[in-house]
Amino acid sequence: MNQHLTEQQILEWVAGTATAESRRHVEQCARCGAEVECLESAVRGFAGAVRQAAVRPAPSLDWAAGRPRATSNWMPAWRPAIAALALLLLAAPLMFHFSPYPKDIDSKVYTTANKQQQQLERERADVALLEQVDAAVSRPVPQPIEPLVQLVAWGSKTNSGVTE
Amino acid sequence: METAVTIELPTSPAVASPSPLLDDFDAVVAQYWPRVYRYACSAVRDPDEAQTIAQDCFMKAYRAREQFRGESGLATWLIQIAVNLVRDRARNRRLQFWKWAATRSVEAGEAGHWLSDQAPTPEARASTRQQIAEVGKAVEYLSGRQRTVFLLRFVDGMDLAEIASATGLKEGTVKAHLFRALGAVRRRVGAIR
Repeated sequence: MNQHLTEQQILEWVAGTATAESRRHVEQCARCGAEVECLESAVRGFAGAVRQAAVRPAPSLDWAAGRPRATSNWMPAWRPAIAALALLLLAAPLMFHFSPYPKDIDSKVYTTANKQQQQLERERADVALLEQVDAAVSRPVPQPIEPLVQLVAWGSKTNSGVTE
Repeated sequence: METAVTIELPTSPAVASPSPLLDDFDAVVAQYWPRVYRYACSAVRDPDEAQTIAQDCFMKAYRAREQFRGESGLATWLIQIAVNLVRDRARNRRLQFWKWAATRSVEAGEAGHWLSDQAPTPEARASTRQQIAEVGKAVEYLSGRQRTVFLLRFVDGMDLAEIASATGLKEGTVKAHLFRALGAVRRRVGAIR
């Protein structure tokens, strides 16, 4: 092909329907190559720009119902707390069952507490006894003869002249 | 004022079970959404409008999935639905074509970067950006069919037979629309040289 590409042949080239003869000519003809390249690069650049700009993720839709898919947004702020509580409730029996301590530890703990309670009661009893002892010691005469001492005291007061 | 959108879904007279390709529709959406959305976006020049069109496209495809027999490619079938949706929407309202593109001048910069190996100097990059802008303006003034064919060919990369299948036009008609569109683009781009 000696003549340059016609308008139609250039368009065919860019449209991707060029003949073999046109292709050969473009390979050899700088002018037609530049013509083709100019249009082709402009179209290619435009297409690339559109491809880059026209990007958006697909929505999550219930396609059958034609509405947004029901998402599990139920109390999103509470979800971690609820999950933690549920986990704790589930794990609690296991924690007791698979306690890291020997089972007799629990009974020992209980026994120790019981002993402490008994000790406290004993101490209270001791204190009460000591108070009783103190009271008894502080008496001038033993308790059984206290009425007699009172009687003598009363008599000495009234019969003071007699004794003198 | 909007009128009811009537979609011509591609159907097949053969009575057969629906294609297993549509069994996992979420996977279909995941695979073909980018392509359908890209076509819609390039056609209507409005991301939100394009999103609506793409959603409608997949919803209609889901409802009509039993009509798909796998005779054409699934992508072609979906694009056909999208083309019909775009056409019907364009019928119902005058879209402000390229308004979106005009407000997103960054696109030209992105495209310039994309073509940076071909335009190494600032002058060449500026020239490329201007060319891309001129292509956009040229496409703005194309007829609906010319624009659809042009976008499907160059943005979506469909061949003429696929475009014919998607648009319902004969292949020769597709070719004629494509050449007219390219001619308009060439005139526009040539005017700035």
